[in-house]
Amino acid sequence: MNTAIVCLVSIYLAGMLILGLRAQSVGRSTAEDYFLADRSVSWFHLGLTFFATWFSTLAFLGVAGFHYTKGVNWYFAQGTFWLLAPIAAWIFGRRIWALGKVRSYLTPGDLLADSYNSAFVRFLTGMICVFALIPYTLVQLVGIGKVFEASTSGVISYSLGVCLTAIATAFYTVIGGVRAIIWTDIVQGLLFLGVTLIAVFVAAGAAGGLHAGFAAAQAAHPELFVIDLNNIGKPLTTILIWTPGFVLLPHLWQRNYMAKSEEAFTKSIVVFSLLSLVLLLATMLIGVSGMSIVSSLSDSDKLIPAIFGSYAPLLLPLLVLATFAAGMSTVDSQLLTSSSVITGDVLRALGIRIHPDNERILGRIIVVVLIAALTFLALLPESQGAIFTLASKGTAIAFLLLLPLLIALRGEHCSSVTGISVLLSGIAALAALELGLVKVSLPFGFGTPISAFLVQLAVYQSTKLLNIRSQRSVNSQAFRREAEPQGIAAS
Amino acid sequence: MKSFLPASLQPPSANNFQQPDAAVLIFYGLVFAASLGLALTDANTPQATIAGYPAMSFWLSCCFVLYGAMTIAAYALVFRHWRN
Repeated sequence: MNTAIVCLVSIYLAGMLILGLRAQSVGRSTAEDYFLADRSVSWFHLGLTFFATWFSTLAFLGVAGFHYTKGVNWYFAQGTFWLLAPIAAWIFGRRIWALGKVRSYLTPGDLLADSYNSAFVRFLTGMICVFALIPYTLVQLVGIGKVFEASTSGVISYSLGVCLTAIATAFYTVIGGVRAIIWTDIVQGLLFLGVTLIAVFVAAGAAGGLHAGFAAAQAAHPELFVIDLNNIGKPLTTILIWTPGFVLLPHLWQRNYMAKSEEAFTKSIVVFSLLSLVLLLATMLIGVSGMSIVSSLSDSDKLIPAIFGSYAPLLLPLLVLATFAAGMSTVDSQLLTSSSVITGDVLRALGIRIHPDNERILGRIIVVVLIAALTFLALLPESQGAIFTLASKGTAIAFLLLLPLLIALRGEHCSSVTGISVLLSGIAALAALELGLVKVSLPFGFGTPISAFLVQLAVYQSTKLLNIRSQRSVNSQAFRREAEPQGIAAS
Repeated sequence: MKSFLPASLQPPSANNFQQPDAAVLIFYGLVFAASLGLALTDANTPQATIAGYPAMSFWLSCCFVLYGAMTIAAYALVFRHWRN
């Protein structure tokens, strides 16, 4: 069995490396090509890279485990935000694409710094992006390590799994840039979708069919099929932060810049929506079937490995491969985006000028440094918590960009004071709440990101009342006109 | 049909765009409200079943399939507009 896993993983890795080398020979040597594929990505490629990037080990392992432990409360939250995410892309993503095309934006910080006319806003946005991506990238490595260890009964250790993933991902990301990532995403996305569907058949078959599986699950855990109204704020918080997360998470924000046209962007969202629906139903069926066939697990992320291990051991190599694919398809994008944010936003805001010819080289160096740091973090015991909990921290940090983006797209009261105060107040509020320095309990269990958002809203209203304006507000009409995707298409 | 969205979030300038956008948001809102509203009904009891399946799972599945169908229908409207 372990030989089969090693052979399959080796073939898979060789394929990824070949794609990386091929991508290197196609691309131009500019930062725009390295990070955004020259803004020329078709609807098919963009749809699949959205899918593979959004659905990571979190979707593959974490959410099935959440169905298993939280039942219908999780199904309500996950189903809603997965299917509302395309609406967030429709409303905000198209405008981000249009502005990026006209003003040659590479990073989220480019858009916000331009909107608020402030280098400090660029720095803050860059730091938020980096801090949002670190826990999120970390969970991918953690997830892969866990599956390696569980599937091979420890023969391939957690540490080895993490290191193997880090080296392979860094290699094709460094040499091929985003083109390599998009090509590998297509293979990886289809691979883990296929294995998820296989997992549905394995789990439902083991439970005696869907109908029998549901009946047994309800008999065993009736409380998991009731929505807990007293804590309805928890699923609503998940919905509220993860729905805009589809646009606000920096690696997904950057994908909005890549479409070759508005039509390509919209079609890609249709592809994403269809695949999301399939994956939503599949993970729910796995989780519910798991309730009746797998006795209580201490780590719900190991539900799918446990099902394969007990009922389809011959397919374990496929599971390892799919987990590898799901994790790598997200890690690569997050690495590259972090790299572009550090070179384009953080260093630039600090006054460090980089010659355009050197941006690509520096980006590659930063990818290597980041993956080394993340591998080190992933090997620490403190980092090996539940996948969804860790990823939610990243999404909560990215949620701090929602209000600044809304204000920027409105084009009103976009003074540097507004931008800086809204961002700083959000960072301070979230940090104070997460670190326990301040204790605030919203009714119905709403979480800390919502409290931080309310603080940002209050600060924004205060700056409005003080009527703090800038040149940017005077030019707001032009900015808003450029945010209309149709205007780009016409020109 | 006048869009209820703030000016900067309104869809692109062509008037035809406003109808699908506003309609999509209203329908999504209704389905979201319906899925949440189910929690206040008898479906949200531990033993409730529909066709042998747990009632809340059954109804939520219906809601989510409807969400997906609406997404496809909404974009189909937009594509028709582009072709014209």
